Amino acid sequence: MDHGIPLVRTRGHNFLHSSRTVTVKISPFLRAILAISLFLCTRPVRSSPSKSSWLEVGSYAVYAFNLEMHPGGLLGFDDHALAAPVLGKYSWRCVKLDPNSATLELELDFTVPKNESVRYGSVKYLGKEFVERARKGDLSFIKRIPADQITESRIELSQDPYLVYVWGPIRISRRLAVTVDLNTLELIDDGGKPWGKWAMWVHPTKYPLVGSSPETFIVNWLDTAVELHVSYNNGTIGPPIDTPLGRFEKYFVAYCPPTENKLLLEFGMETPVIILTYAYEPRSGILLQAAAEMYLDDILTQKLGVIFTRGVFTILETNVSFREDNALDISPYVPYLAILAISATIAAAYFVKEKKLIKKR
Amino acid sequence: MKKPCIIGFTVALVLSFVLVAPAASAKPRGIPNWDEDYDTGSHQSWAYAYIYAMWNTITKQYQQHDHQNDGDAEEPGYYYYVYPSHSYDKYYPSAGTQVYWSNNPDGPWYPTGAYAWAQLSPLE
Repeated sequence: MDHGIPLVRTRGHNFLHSSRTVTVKISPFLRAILAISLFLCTRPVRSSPSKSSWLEVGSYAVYAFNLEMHPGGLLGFDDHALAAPVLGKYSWRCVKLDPNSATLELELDFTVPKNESVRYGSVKYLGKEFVERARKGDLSFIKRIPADQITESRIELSQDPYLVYVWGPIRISRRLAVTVDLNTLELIDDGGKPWGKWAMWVHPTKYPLVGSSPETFIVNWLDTAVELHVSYNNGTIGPPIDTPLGRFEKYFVAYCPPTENKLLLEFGMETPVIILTYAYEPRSGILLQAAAEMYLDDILTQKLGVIFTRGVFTILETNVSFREDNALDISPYVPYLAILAISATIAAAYFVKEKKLIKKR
Repeated sequence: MKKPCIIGFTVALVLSFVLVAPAASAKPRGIPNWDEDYDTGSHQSWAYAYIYAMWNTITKQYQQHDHQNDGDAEEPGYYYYVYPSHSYDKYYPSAGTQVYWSNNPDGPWYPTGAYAWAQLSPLE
């Protein structure tokens, strides 16, 4: 009984059997290998974990905004305030978990310290209009600094350039609870209506390990939505990410090309552009770092009025376990290995068949 | 028939490993070291114009090294984005330039580390 199937039939010239018809047959075992190889070739390559399976009541993460003081670190607010330098923390904790949603308690805490020796550390408003209003005692344009911190002794007016200073130390903090739709990662209100996007984690299983997927990460930034592309960095498209929790060679990265918004010009930004590069841990999908030293999300934009940041935003602490993945990850190479297997199978089939023909002769 | 089999197998093997081999490095070489290549120095004057001058100088210095926003890379296969910024301040004026790199014009973009920040002294 012959289980072989004709794979290749040649007629005419053959350098060993020039006038013979050669039928190459492969055994069921080789057919099985071929079938598996073809399956692997066509199978979409995806990461393994299920979405947010790590999330439980009590899960938390703390992020630092600027671990060290840097003169370039700043926050820009929608009331035209520019705060610099800024140190801060941004944390979330899961307090309620339903099958389709999670309630998270957020704590955002930013501090503008004051350095007496160099007169540095303030929230500034740039423009003649602000100076004139302040001179008349109208400070209503200051919307994002808590009122108890706006005292006369802290206010200074400058005419050249036109600046209203509110000297530090200033603390801008906010505690709030948000509900996240665990299927879409949208921020939803009590009625279930989406009002923003949760950017602190992603669902790794959604994204292919090759190519990129577009997705809205900020619903409302200066009246526009910000779409990022999500790709898997297996070490070839970006450098390792160094965080206080260690170095990550592989991660999902959400990014956009430099994105311009002319409204930033009104805020004293001479480069009205944001560059976002968010790195996510590949197994849990937790945000590791804003690798382009700029972080924005719908919480900052819509709840705190932050429309621009500059500084290192990185994970500091979490109780979500990151599964070590130091073993060789061959998943991106599966299609290539499958091609190799197919080639080897065909070559082996020829070789076996020819051996048989030689024996028969 | 052994010869073509061996050749075919070898070619397939070599091709597979060539395709599988990751890029040699994810980060471009040759990023200039700001501290060594450029000296912004310290300055004793302060003015709007001066901040602009600093900003323009820093940006142009980078552009001379082909670090332009048009994707003309110093190293083939890499793209750069020059991001100048400055701070109007009576007491703490400053100007700076951050340079980002990517191996794709759409990103992801990463800071090169060649971050220039010129602290200008206040007017006395």
